[in-house]
Amino acid sequence: MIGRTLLSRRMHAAVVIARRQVTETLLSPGPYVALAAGMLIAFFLSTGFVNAIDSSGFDPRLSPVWSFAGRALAGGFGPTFVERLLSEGPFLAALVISCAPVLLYLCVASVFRFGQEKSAGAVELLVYGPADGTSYLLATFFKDAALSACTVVFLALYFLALSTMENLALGPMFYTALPVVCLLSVALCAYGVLCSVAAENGASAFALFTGIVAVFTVLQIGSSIVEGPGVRAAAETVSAVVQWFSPLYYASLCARSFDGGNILEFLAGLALLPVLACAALAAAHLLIRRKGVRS
Amino acid sequence: MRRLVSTLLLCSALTPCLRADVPIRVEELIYSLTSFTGSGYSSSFALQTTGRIYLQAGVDNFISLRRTLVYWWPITAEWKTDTDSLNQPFRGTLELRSSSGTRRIPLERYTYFSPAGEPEGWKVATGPDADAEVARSAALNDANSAALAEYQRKSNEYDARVESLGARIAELKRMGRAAAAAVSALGSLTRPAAPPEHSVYRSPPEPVQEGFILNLPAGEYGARFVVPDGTTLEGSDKKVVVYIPRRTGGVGFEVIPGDKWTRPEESKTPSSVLYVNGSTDLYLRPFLENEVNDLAYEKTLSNQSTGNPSVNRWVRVRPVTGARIELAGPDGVQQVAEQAFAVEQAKGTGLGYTIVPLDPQAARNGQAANLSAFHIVVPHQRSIIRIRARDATGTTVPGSQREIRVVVRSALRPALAGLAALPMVLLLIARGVRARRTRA
Repeated sequence: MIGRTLLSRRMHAAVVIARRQVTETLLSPGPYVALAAGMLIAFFLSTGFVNAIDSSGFDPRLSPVWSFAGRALAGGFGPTFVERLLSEGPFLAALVISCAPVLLYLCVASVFRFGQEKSAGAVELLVYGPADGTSYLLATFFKDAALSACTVVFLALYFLALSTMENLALGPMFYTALPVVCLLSVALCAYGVLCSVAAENGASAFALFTGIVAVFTVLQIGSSIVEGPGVRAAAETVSAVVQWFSPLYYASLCARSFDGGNILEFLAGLALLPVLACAALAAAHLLIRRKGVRS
Repeated sequence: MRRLVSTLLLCSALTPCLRADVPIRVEELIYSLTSFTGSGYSSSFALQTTGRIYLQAGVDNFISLRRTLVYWWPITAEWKTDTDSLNQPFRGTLELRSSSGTRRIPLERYTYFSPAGEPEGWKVATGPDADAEVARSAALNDANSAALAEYQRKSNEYDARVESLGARIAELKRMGRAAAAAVSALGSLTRPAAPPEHSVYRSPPEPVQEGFILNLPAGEYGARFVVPDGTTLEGSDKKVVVYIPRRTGGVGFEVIPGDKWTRPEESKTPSSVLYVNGSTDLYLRPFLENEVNDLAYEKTLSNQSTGNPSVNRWVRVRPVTGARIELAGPDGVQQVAEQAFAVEQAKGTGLGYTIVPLDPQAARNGQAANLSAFHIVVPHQRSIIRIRARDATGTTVPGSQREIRVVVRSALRPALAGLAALPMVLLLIARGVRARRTRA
């Protein structure tokens, strides 16, 4: 009973703090600029795709944007990867590319801010009231998760407008990627919270989070590259252990299994993303209980 | 004079650099590979330094071991063999180790071929059967050549007879004499018929070779070559990766645009959308396909290739026969049958051609079709056409559904670009609301 009361009090405090944090974030220009940048990227990718369509189909050489992107992707991941990525249209690639700056901005801003507030003693001041450190980190997580989901929905609506106007298909892979991108950003937000708690100040939290995301990204890319079997073997060896902690691994598992028609594996990958987020939050909770909120 | 001397000195200094760039040949122990790719056989080789050989499961693949010279060819960025200078095959057995045990595979004489009328069939003949099959093919070739030579001789005789009769008729007419007999003789001449092309093989048997025939279940095997005295040949250790397709029975389409009929595209992924600009009609040819790992398939085609191990690709296996295409577009649902087409070059000096249905009379006279495909009339305005293949019983062939979208550049592009400024408008609204609340 006491546990439930504590939990509901904590959740209430987290929701109240999250609401205030959302308001503060919505009043700052950063997310809007990142979102506008994401939409512009999507616009150029989609119109570039249409410009590259001739009588026989999509020919990336006809569009400077896709010519460069196609060659870069084919050089790194092979022509088959590019063919599968663009088989339904430009929106799967556009979703990933345009969501990345917004979602990373949201995570990084939270990580930096949490560290700064901890250093300034603002969090310490807060926990003298009805909230505790866990409520605060949960609030940060809720705020990031809610804003990430809103971002993905907003961008999806923009893609819908683009596809309708240009007679392009969004495609089943795009629709499937939407929940994956949402849950991937949730898991990354949880990692952001964990980094904020683990580091001593804003700068080190930022460095830690960036480093972890970079390691996950490099391993994911390294184990999929076409050239350099040595690099791939090394990345696969390291990935054998690290991949279980990487949200990118579960996202790619979802993509691979959906592509192969394995719905059960896809759902498992999708379910493991929030599980990973919960594990990161639990670790953050334990850490903040042990370390406290004082910097 | 001083300038001339210095130029000569410079040239003489550079002379040693100006030599032919002959690749250095290195003696190596290589595995020669003839691997089944799904639709045929591909020949490549595995260098001594290569660790893995990739083969498809459940089909006959052929490998052999030989010592030869290899060299790096920078123009195509690949290793090549110089078997003219050194080609020393080894005799012995191939030992394959796996979790289920060890097996030894003997050398065999073999050939492979594809009989006509069996689009999915590749057959392998071994031992005396291989020799017999190659001999049969050679005999057929000889008979064919003899028939062709006979036809050529008769054709030449016919041409000569026509020419002489024509000259005779002209001469008689010039002299003012009756040429009825000569005209009658000319009319009675018949052009010799061309010999029918033998259709026993779609792909004739290769010359008989000696190698190990590997038809293995999926898995990883350790391979090494054991010479007749029982010892292992140093440097022959390899890992053989035998793989199966992830999915089978997909349907892909070869897409031939009317304005580029020699440059067909392919729509292989079942969920893929075919985007076109509607400037020309399309000619489709469906084919069955299997989905295999990209790296494994590339390595099957050529052991030196690279591929992405995380991606799978659809590969063509054989054409879909006896099907028709159902097309649902702006004009309702239509059934399209496969049709033979002829490509007629534009008259005059200008380039260009038109694709027209093959005239049945011309077909009877021996004119072959340039193209046999399903003709899809593509509207010029933006539209969506849904196609699917139906088999002879009218059942939809699974995985054959596709969308063809005619894409026309939208006139609302500036508005779409302007929508990207919407977040900034939202920011202004949010700040405005906040400012009003603060003032209140």
